[in-house]
Amino acid sequence: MNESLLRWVRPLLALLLILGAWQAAGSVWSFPAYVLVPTEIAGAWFSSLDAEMGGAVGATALRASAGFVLGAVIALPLATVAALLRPVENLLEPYIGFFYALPKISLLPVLVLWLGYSDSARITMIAVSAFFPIYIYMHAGVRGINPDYLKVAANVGATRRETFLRVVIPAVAPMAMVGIRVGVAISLIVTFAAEVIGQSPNGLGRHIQDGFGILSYEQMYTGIVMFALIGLGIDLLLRVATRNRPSIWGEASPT
Amino acid sequence: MSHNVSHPQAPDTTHSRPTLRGAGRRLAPGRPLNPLSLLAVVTGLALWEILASAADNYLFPTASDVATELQELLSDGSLIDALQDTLTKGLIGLAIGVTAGVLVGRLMASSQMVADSVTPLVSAVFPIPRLAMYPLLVVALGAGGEAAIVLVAVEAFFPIVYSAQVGFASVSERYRWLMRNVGASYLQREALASRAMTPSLVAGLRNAVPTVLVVVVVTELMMGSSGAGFLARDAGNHFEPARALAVVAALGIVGVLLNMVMRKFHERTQSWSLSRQS
Repeated sequence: MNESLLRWVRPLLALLLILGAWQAAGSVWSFPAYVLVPTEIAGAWFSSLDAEMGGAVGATALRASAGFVLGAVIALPLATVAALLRPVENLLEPYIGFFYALPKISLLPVLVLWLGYSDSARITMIAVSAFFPIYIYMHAGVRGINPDYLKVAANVGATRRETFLRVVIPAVAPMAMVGIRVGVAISLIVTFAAEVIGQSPNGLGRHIQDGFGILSYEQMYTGIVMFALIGLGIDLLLRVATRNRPSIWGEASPT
Repeated sequence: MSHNVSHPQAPDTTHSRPTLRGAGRRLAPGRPLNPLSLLAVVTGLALWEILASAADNYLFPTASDVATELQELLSDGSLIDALQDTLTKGLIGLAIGVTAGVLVGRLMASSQMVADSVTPLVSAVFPIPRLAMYPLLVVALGAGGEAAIVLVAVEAFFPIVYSAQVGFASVSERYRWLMRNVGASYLQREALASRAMTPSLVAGLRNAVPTVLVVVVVTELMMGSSGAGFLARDAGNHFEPARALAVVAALGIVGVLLNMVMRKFHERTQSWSLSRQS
């Protein structure tokens, strides 16, 4: 019990130490105007919580989810097929290799020419970026299924349906989950980039960019804090969701 | 019952970003491209050429238009300058991030208390989209590249601190004990630990390098007036999709080359580890 308590106390103490030092340094030296101390950031964040901020968070969350879902819906089946059928994999391989190594965001100026400064362009961008981590992990997951399990399933007379549901899916789930977690994180980052570069009329990216335009440091900080909270919240949610069913999702996790 | 079917190597999930395991292998020099893959590339390029010619719209340039544009960008030196700018920013940021990551990782590996305090913080900060700090960094440091370097350093720090810690911790007690017994000095023991942690560090670098390229290009697309990202944005603003696509193609080639170099580096240093032989 003492051990588990220490596990929480130590990082919290370290966090308090960092924040405390930051706060103290702010009252000893006079920081430049763009460096706010923790209490100022917290204050600005609390007073920014209004309907407008809600709208910005909603727009960003919707955009990120749409892009992520689109990317995942294409990546999961495609990776499964490529991992199982050698010819399909050979056909896809050069394209996957090239686009995986490419900073996908550099396609945004071209997408904007084709689709305009629209959500079609922004969401396509997010989907393309989310596609690759999900594809790569799912591919590795399907490839990594222990062939012995399939033999055992065949030996006990499992139907194809049973084999798929009771053997293949549980075997693939941990890797699929890692890909999904990385994909979610990337979707959120790219959403910010797509909102700023793609000149979004709303969303948290717009919020931060507007703060930049009028040099309102509070507004920029509140946007950053909101992005951080969304990132932490989604990660926590996915962790809790997988922890409750470790038999399915397994222990594989990014970092 | 004997099952002699070998269990395929489980993929390495200890790092947050996928390595280029399946995808990059075939693109390596000396390993001939699968005929089906070659066919896919040739057919893809031919289809692109035919469809774009049929569309006859400047918004949909043909493959040869993009190739011509790429040649032009190369011959007037603007692409080389831009890529040099992009890679310099990435390299400086990477160097700072790696140095900080190795130092913190060394500290975490040497003290259980530091590790217990810092590890949860590092993994908590990991899912935060740090890119959102970029406009603020530009206010603080200007759009001349310093802000991008700081952001790259921060992004590179996270995979590196993790793999450095794992690497340092992988030097087994037996080796440390042996070194002490033969009277090795502190510096000699540190040298051993540094060599032994290299494979793990390089694995972290393999994940960090593509991220670094992405971060620099994103910052250039957002603000600033130099680098490959700027070149792509500028082409888009001037309604020149062929030029923008040429920059994209160049960035893809640079990305593939970087991945190939990192993979070679990874293979070369693999044998330095001291974790297995103990």
